Amino acid sequence: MRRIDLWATLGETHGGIALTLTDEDGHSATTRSALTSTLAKDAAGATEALREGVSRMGPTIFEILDVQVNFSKARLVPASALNALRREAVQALEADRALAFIRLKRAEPVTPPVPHPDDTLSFLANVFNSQAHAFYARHGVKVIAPAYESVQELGEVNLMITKHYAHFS
Amino acid sequence: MGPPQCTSADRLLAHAPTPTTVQDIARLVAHMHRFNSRIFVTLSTTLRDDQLEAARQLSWQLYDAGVDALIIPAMGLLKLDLPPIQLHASTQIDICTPEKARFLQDVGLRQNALQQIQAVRQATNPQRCTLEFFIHGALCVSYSRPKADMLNGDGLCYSDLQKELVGMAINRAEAVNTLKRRWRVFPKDAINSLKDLRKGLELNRNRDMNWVRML
Repeated sequence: MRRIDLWATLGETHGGIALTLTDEDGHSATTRSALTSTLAKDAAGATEALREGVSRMGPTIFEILDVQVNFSKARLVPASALNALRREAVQALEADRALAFIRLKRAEPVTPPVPHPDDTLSFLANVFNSQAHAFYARHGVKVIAPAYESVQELGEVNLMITKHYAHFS
Repeated sequence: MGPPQCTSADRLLAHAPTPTTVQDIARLVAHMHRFNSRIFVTLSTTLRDDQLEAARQLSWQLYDAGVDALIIPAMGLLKLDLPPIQLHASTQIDICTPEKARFLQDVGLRQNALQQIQAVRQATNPQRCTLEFFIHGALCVSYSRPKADMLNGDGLCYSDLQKELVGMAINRAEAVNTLKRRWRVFPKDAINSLKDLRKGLELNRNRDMNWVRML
């Protein structure tokens, strides 16, 4: 399954910690948690634990490439608090991605209607209903043959015209 | 599988495996949008007058399902009360000249699939018309010869041929057993029955992906 790459930054705020997730498309979300973290005796071990905790993306569509821990001093953060922070950040990021997803706009037709390049259409134009006929008439086509499915082409007709010669032997 | 709310309309989806419901498509769209991917839906080419209303309803259902664009293979659809969804021109419209591409741009189709890209780019406005072309499977009917020097995209759309051979019309997910149609590959003689087809005939292949399809 495809995953979206993420970079995570864990930092300090007034009286708590903040987690920022930034994805490969440039979307970003930050969540904060007010908690009294305790100072860690084993600095390297504590930082590694934080990295590992933040990296657990589970069944989400994301994958963590890197976790930066920007604490002035090594801290211990309870796993439950870190999990909640991470889950909220992932939710906020998905919401941000959804918000930034813009529906494609419809192109506007030119007025007055432009003329069709040809003023005659054969059955190859697949005109099989009155609306298609009206469309081409509006765009200046004078002779509009019905589609093959209308069963008005009586002899043999081209099924398709190909660029390359069809060879079988 | 959701309730078949619009079973009749579903038959208007080109090449759709049945049953495909709009609910299935809505689920697909919701999933793909999480990845910023777009979903375009192709409608059938040859719609009868009595199918137009169903096509119109289907286009609104697809819009509500979040589909990003409708690929339009027949111009009659443009005359309907369509939702404000982006419209793309299907390869079925057979766009081989810059004039035709320019025309499609000017009637409100946003995306064209093209053969003569350079000339077409010059005839169209990049702000108003996106050019798209196919790498694989661009030609639906040309054969591949075992030793011919042809590359990707030279293959026959086997499923279309298969449908034709078993009595399904190309481009329509609808059986037409009542009509006895012959088909032929010009300039050879018509093939009247399956027995005339050569077993083991190489129909399609893709060198990059290392597969071959045979009769």
